[in-house]
Amino acid sequence: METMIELQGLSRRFGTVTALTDIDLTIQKGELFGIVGPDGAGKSTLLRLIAAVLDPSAGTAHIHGFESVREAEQVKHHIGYMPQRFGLYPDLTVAENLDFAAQLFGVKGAQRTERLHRLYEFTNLERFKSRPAGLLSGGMKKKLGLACAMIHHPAILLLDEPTTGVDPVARRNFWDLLSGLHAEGITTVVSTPYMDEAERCNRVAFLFKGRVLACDTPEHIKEKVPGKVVVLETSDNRRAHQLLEDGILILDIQTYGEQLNLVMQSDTPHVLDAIRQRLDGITIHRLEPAPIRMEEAFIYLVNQAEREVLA
Amino acid sequence: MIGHIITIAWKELLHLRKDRFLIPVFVIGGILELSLIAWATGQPIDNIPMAVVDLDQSPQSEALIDALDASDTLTHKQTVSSVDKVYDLMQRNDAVLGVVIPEGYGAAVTAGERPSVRLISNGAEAVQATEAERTAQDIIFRQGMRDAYHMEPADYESELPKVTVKYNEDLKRGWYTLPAESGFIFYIFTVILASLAISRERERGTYEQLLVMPYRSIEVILGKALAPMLVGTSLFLAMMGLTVFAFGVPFRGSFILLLVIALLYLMAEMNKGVLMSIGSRTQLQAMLLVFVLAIVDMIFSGYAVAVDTMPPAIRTLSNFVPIRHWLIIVRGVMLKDVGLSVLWPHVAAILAIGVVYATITASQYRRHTD
Repeated sequence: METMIELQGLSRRFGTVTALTDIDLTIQKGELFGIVGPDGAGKSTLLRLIAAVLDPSAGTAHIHGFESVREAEQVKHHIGYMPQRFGLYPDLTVAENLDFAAQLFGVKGAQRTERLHRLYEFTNLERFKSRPAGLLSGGMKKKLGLACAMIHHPAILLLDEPTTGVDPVARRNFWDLLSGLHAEGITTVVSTPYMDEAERCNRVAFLFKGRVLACDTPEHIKEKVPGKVVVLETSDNRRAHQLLEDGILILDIQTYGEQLNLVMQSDTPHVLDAIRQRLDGITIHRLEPAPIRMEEAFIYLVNQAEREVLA
Repeated sequence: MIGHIITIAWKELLHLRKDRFLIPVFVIGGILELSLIAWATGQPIDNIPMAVVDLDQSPQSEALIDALDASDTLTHKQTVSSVDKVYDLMQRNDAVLGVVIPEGYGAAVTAGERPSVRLISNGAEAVQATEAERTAQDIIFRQGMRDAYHMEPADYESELPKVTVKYNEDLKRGWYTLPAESGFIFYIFTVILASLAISRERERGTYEQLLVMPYRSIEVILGKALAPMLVGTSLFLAMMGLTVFAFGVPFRGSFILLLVIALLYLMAEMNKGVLMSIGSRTQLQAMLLVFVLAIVDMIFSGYAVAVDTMPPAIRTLSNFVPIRHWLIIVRGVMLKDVGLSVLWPHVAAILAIGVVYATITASQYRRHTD
């Protein structure tokens, strides 16, 4: 196992605001590593620190063995970074943007022809070659960004919320590309607010208010949630929520649109009967055990962190 | 290093080519502006409206009025009965000059005296008023000499001061304004372009992408500076061509010398633009900075207001404005055919200002976006 990214005690402040506190992370070669968290958790700051476009206030970051402050120039050769905001030139065409990226990284001759060909094929952008980048759809913009970030064959890809603002089909499509890269052994660090995407990573760091709440494989993170999830749909969810709130059996109640997810110590028929009894007078449409998803795990971890802060 | 700079410069030129607004505005705007100035300043100041109060009503006073009216500069618009009426006309801008011929003018002239004629000039129209006053004084003097002493100009010309005008023999205003204005045009466009160079990337969010490229900051700055320099130099050549070939301002000195100094001058201005660009978050901020500084430049340039008449402190300050030196140089080379032996202090000043700006730029430019 080769360590590609090593962060030790990494912190970053902006004036009086602390964006990241004491981050320790190690990412190995070939990982598809997810940084997951709500808006403002510090995901972008963390990626910018790794990309060496931002200096840490404390701690160190080593990327491919290079220190991010002193050896920032070397770091640049080994990473492909895609900022959250569309970072390409909207007035230049797809081809011009890619050509510029190739030229910037000194990719020339036959190598350039071969790589451009592969990237066009990989991203399906060939037919949009002469379209100004600003006129591409959200998903295609992200693909072009990815292609530009990959033109120099970086060992590490840093992608900041590559699927935010992209339609579900394009999102899936983009993640298929990432899975392909993962299979090729490219180390990818990707930030996302979407839990279904976190599920597709081989390891995930949960970031909340500038701290890592958990860092593990999706399976292990889900196991951190004690107990089981039971889905409940009733005629009056608000009332049901109130009735169940102080129940000993229930660890956490999460609202998802028309359904309540009850995180419970157990989901045996006996326990479910107890719930039915307590909801006397409310029509129950659905009450059944369900597998724990990243979403529940994340909300559980966040609620727990907030309870700790309150306590 | 060179390859990197050219890559960035090429991309900048690509942006300019795609922009359907900027370059057409620069080219058409520049040509239009210069042509308008050439046309406006090419006209002699004539037909200045004059009002007369003739309190004498003698053949001599009428002869004087005819003589004034006969000049190209003045036109006898109205005869009024009192000085108050002259003020009335001036308020309505119907008169720039008032001529009041005193009672007894004719009798005094016939007796061999030269009585005083009163002139009232409209200072609100300073340029016309000065011209009208000068012409009227001259005509009144000649007419007095003729009526009082029966002397024609030929009889006393030798006693008057001899005036020789050098460098701009006919005192054509265009020869003064056009080289200066073309200087303003090519410099302001260069500064605008330079000021947009980095602020545009900031505003679009492309700056961060550029920062992760394996480039040194100096390479990015130089690359970004190259495009405005190219555009500025082309504009300089175009404006000079217009000034000399279309508007007939003579070019008496060395063109190569002026071109080399122009490049130094552009570099100084361009550095200023890049510095403003680094200091701005958006293109709008950068443009506002350009305009604030352009006004300062305009005042200190010595073009609109003579620097020599300013207080000493401001005169000293004006030395830090490159365009002030450029205007002295361009007139020196074009009209006076002088070379470096005379102009070197100004060239040195431009060079020094450029170096100072470049140094500040290099120290202010950071690798990071925060």
